Order: sequence, then C-alpha cells, then structure tokens
Amino acid sequence: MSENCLVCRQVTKSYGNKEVLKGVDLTIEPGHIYGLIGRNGVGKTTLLSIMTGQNRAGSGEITYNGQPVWENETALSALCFSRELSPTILFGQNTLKAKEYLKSAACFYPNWDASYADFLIKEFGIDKNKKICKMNKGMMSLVTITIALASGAPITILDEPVSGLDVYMRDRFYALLLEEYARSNRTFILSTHIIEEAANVLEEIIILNDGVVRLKENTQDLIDSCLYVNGLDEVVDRAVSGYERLNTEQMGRNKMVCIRLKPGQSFPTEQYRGELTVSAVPLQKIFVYLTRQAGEENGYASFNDRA
Amino acid sequence: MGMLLSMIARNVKNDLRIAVKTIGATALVMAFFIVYGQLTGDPGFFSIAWTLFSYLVPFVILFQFPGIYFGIALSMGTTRRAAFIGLQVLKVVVAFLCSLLVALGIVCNNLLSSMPAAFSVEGLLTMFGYGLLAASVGDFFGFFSYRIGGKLGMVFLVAVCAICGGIFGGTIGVMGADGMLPIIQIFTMPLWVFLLAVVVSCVLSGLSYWLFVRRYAVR
Repeated sequence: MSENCLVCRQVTKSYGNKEVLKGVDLTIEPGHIYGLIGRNGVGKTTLLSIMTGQNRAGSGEITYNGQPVWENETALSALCFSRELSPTILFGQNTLKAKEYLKSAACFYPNWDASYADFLIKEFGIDKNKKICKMNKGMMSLVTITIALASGAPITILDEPVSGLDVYMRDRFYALLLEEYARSNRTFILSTHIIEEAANVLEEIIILNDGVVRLKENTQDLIDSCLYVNGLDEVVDRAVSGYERLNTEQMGRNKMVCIRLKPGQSFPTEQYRGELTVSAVPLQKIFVYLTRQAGEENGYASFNDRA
Repeated sequence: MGMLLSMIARNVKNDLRIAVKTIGATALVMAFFIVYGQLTGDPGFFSIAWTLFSYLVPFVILFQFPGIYFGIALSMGTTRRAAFIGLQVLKVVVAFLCSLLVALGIVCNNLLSSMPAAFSVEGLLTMFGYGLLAASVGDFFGFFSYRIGGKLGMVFLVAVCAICGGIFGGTIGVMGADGMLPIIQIFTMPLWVFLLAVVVSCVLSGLSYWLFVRRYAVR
C-alpha cells in the first residue's frame, strides 16, 4: 500500500500564533501528476517544504515508503522540491550564476540527467553565465523547471513553475512535462495558480483550504461532477433540490446554480430539456467556489456595497 | 549508512567546488598580507603575525562560502547531518592539506636554499590547528551571515572584522609590544595545550553551528 508513496498524516504547522496547516492528511501515489492548488498564503509552499524535509512539521508524520522523511537520506534522495526563485532575495542561490546552481543540482541529485539538463538549457535559452538575481522572473522559473525535470527524482515537486512565463513557454513546459512523465512515469506535484491551463495536464487535483486538504480527486471526475444549471428561478430551484450547491447567481428572474454531484448521482438533463441549460463548469470556477471563506458565499465584495 | 556516506561525499564535493571558487580572492588576501608584511619592514614579530594572517584569513574566507550556501544543499535533498558532517570533513582535509603544503614548501626551501627554515612535526600540527580553527570561524560566520540575510549579513561580517581589527590594532597602539603578549603566549604554549584549545574551540563552534542548522527551515 505505502510502497513509493509519500504520506502525510495529521501534519500541522504554525508560524507564531498563526496556524497555517491544521492537520493535513494526504497520500501521493507513484505515477501521477498532481496539482496542488489553494489561495495565497494557505500554506502550499509550507506543506511542500515539510513533505520534502526542508521544514519541520509542528506535529504529524510524513513518510516515504513507510519511512519518516525527516533527516532520512534514502527518502530525501527520492524527492526533489525545486523551489520558486524570488528576485527579491539577495543571498544563497540567487547570488550564484545559473551554471553554478545547476552544478550543485548535478552534485546532489543521484539520478541527475546531465544531457537532458543541457537539452533543456538550450531549449529554454537560459544564459548559464548570468547570475540568478539578474534574471527576470520567467527565466528564474525556467531554471527551476530545468532542475526539476533533470533531477530524475521519483517524486518531483515544482512550486509555481509557470509564474512569469509567457503563453508559449507555459505551453512548452506542459509539453515537456508530459513527455518526461510518459518517458519515466515519475510522480510530479505542481503547485499553481494558473488552474485552467494546467487542467489538461493534472491527473489529480488537491485543494488546500483553511489549513486542510479540502479535496483530492481525479481532475476529470471533478470537472464531470460539477454542472451549471441555468434557467428560470423556480424551475432551477426545483431541479437542483437535493443536490449540493456550490454557487448561486441571480440575474433578474433567471438563476444560475453550480451543483456538485455526489458519487453515483446524476442530473436529469433530458427531463428539463427546453427549460434549463446545463453546462460544464470550468475548473477555475470550481476552485473559487470550493475555497470561499465564511462571508464570501454571496460573491465578491463590491466598492459600491460599502456602508 | 551507505546512503549517508554517499550524501556526505556529495556535500564535500559541492562544498569544495564552492570553496575553490574563492581561490582568487584568498590568493589576493594572502598576497596582500605577505607584501604588506614585507613592506612594514619589521623583521620581528610583525612579520610572523602577517605571515600567520596570510595563512589564517584565507581559511576564514574559504569556509565562509559553504556556510553561505548551506541552504542550497538542504533545498536539494540532503540531510542536515550529511551537510554538517560534510563541511566538518572538508575542514579537516583542507587544513591538513594546507599544513602539508606549507611543510613541503619548507622542506623544498631547506633543500634548495642556503638559509634553511625551522621545521618540525610540532610546527606542522600547529599549522593544522590554526587552519582548523580559522575554518571553523569561517563556516560559522558564513552560516550566520546567511541566517541574517544578504546585505545585513555582509554588514555583520564587516562589523565583526572591524571590531576584531580595532581591538587588535588598538591594543597594540595603546600598549605597544606588551599588547601582543597574549598572542605571543599562544606561540609559546605547549603544543598539547594549543591542540586541546583547538579541539575545544572547534567542538564549540561546530556545536553552535549544528544548533543553528539542525532544525533550519530552508527559505
């Protein structure tokens, strides 16, 4: 069961009085591409750094192959967490040239693929002699992507890999990721805010909200389980009764409700043909509905609503 | 165990690569101290002090850098203990090799020159001890400046150097040769006392370094 699985059990973490993670339970199985999504400051990077032994959990347990990850050479050799490089930091790796940073990666990752790294550097047009702190955000992301893909680590984690990348490079990255995934069957975890684009790549979605894993589900199953039901107010109300409502939008006499089907549940679309419009919900919208905090149920606050 | 040794070896290799990067800067510092020592013209204690400085300061610089880049090792899947042990191993190896190089230099000088220099096993051990001590100061400074952060870290290091230099220079300035007495005593103390002091200092510096890194969260 736990073979080559990265497992988090009741992981907590606090910074001062702020409890960021409140008991995360998560199992990362081999041979999948996971997407870790959550709102800003929800603790995605904290969770990923704890999962890879770069930060210590307040409590709880993180294991790989049944062995604790913390200070475990065998477990850590199988994990790569390519951290997001920040242009505002002026110490550590940011003071190095790209080639020096890559040399360190080559030194530490036991499965480092030097020829693949060279291919990626050429493909991305990375100037190896440029200092990381002198690079633009997109180029920094490309360096982290190069390290992640060439690391050869069975579980590879990328933190915001596409931030700062233009559309072309994002597309190129997704293609390279899928190519490497097909070639090696490695496990990838991507933390991202660009959800809609990544939906085609991510096999499983993990939504982190309010310090816990709010949802972990197959991406296509999640998209299939959510529907927009649009039509006259009273017809919609009648049709969606008994279903989990994620969101309601009122437009005059019309109403659009987002419902989520439970396993085994289906919506009788044929029965309401001509009365209601039933359509798919974009993944990004599902994420918005599922991660709303208390007080945000009625949509976004407007400047016009001020007292 | 094999995995730990392999990880230690990877850390030694990476630290050495980083340290070697500073070879130009350390050579410059050595050259400065040697030339300055010669220019001051004092054949006595000061030339010994400058020679010693030219040997010690490069160790501090050399080992400051693995400390500064400690976070990289941890962010690339190495354990804290492997990174820590790797750095300690490298310190011992480099201190030993440097003292050996100095010894070889002296032997060559004695073979080729008409003015033989004094050389003894005690001298070799003393050089090794000083090297280890300076390297410990270096890695501690490096990691400390990393913890504090880029620019503030640099300010911290400059402040430490200024304070140490100020105390050193001020004492000599005020007290003259008498101010050098404690330093002269280091040269005259029995070897075993000196080596014991080195071991204690290195253990204490290593311990404080370990206390910093053992639960360190990578940024």
